Amino acid sequence: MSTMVKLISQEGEIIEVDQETVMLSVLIKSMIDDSGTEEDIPLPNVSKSILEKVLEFCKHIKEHPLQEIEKPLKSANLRDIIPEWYDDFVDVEQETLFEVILAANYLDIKPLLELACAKVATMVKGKSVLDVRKTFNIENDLTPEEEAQILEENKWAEEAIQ
Amino acid sequence: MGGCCTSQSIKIKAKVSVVHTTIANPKKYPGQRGIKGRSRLKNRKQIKLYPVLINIFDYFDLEDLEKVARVCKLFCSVATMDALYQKFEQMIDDTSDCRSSRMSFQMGNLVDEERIDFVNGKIRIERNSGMKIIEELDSIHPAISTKPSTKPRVSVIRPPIFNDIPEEESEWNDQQSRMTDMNAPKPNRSIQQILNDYINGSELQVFKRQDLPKIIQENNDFNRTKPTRIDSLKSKKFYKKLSDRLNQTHVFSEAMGDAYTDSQHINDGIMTIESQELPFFPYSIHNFRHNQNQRENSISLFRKMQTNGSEITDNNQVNTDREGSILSIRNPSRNSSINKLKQLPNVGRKRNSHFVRLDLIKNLPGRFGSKQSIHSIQKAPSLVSIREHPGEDNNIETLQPSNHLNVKNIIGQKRNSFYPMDKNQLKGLDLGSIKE
Repeated sequence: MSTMVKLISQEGEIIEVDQETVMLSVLIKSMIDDSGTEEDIPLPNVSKSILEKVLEFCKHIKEHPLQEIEKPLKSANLRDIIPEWYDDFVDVEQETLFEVILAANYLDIKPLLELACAKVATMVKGKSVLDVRKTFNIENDLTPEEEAQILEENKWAEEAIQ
Repeated sequence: MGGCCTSQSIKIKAKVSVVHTTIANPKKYPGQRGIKGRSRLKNRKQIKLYPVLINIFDYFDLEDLEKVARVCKLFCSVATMDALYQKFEQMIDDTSDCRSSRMSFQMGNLVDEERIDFVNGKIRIERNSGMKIIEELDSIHPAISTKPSTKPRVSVIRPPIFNDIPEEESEWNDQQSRMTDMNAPKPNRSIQQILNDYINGSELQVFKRQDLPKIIQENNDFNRTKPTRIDSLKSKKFYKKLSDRLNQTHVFSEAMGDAYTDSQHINDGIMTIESQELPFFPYSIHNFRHNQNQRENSISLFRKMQTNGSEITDNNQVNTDREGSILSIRNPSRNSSINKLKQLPNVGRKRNSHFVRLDLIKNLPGRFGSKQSIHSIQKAPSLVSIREHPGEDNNIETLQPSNHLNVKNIIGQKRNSFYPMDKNQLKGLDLGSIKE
């Protein structure tokens, strides 16, 4: 029987999980290596709902390994690149997706981080600047002069090669 | 960019919050926190978003990066850096190991004025915005820092006139090694072949800036999808360096029109010029002209030779391959050659190793009317042209007084001793009766 590890979420709730599953997280693995499995592992930066989602990913990838996503993306449709389950897994609200990204970054789970980042990249790929701003509710803090400068720099770089 | 940057692989020591970003979030999603919670989340996001954005932007190609750079300042900052990473990775693929060299790119960043240095496999980012903030990344992107160079190095091919360039900088040597399309003579050619090429004009482009070799091999296999500023920086830097290198080569005798009327004048005019004096020397390689139209008049040869104060030692024979004209450079002791010179201890040959230009003019019809043979040049500790050695100590302040003339005196002596011929005078010279 595998060892169980107790994770404490941001809300203080305890989630018990198989040690083998959570060892995908470099952070948790190092904490277990340091303190052992007997001590509870506090994860103050991860909410319970996100932690459960992360653990769901960890369980699934253990049985269905995910190949590394090719960079740069060849397609704006993630389903063309990865298995359907993974595409569905990250097909969530933006807020949730960003929480997953932050949790994956905090827990240092590379496959999950790559998957979620690839999902965000597909949301940007092929869209105009205005669409990107609109999609992510980003305020344009560039002055017209600065925008012109960026355009000019790109133009200059193109001319330099030609 | 191949690979990703996790929070462990990149340690950002500075406060990332220096990046000023506003992520407007007017919409409220189900389960979203209130204003207070949102503000807290926003602050947290600002701190953590930077490394995450790098991961997201990893999936963009250069075209996408240029596009998202126009979204906001944060995106501009990250996209610019990511583009730099991508190009740096390409450069590593294309060149030999760049991690041993130092490359700096000044970024006209909109967030702050940034300076990014790639030094020995580490990235140093310096921002100046009122207070100085330095970020040091312990390692380059994992894909960059661990990816070995896959392309075999191209063997160094240099024209023989530059054979004594010291091995001073690996970056320069790497650039040199990629000059595959250089119209340089092949190694192991005899001096006779080299001279023939000079006479025929096929080697003259070595001196022309516009014909300098391309930096990158034409058949390199990475996809150059979008040009970037780094390409231009790389190109400019290389050409500037090569130009500087060429400018360090000084020719004492300015043009082929110069001719020397007798051995005494040559002996009077031949002096040793220390390399420290060369920055003030008025002649540069750009002033050199090889007049290939005057086939029958003169032969100019650059050759690395050794002077020990009394004679030039070199055992290479040069045949001009012209009717009745033979130019021979013989070494009485026959114990030195270019290759042997390189084996000599630096101390021994540092001062005496120079390029020597030999102008061979026969039966000058000038006012002296004397015959001039190659022996008069051989016997002299001649330096008709001088090659500066960058490896030498060029600190003028530490110069000890020496017997060498300074440049001004030399120039004065040159004016007195050398009789410059014009092109018309050179016509009709007979090279056939030159003494060996």
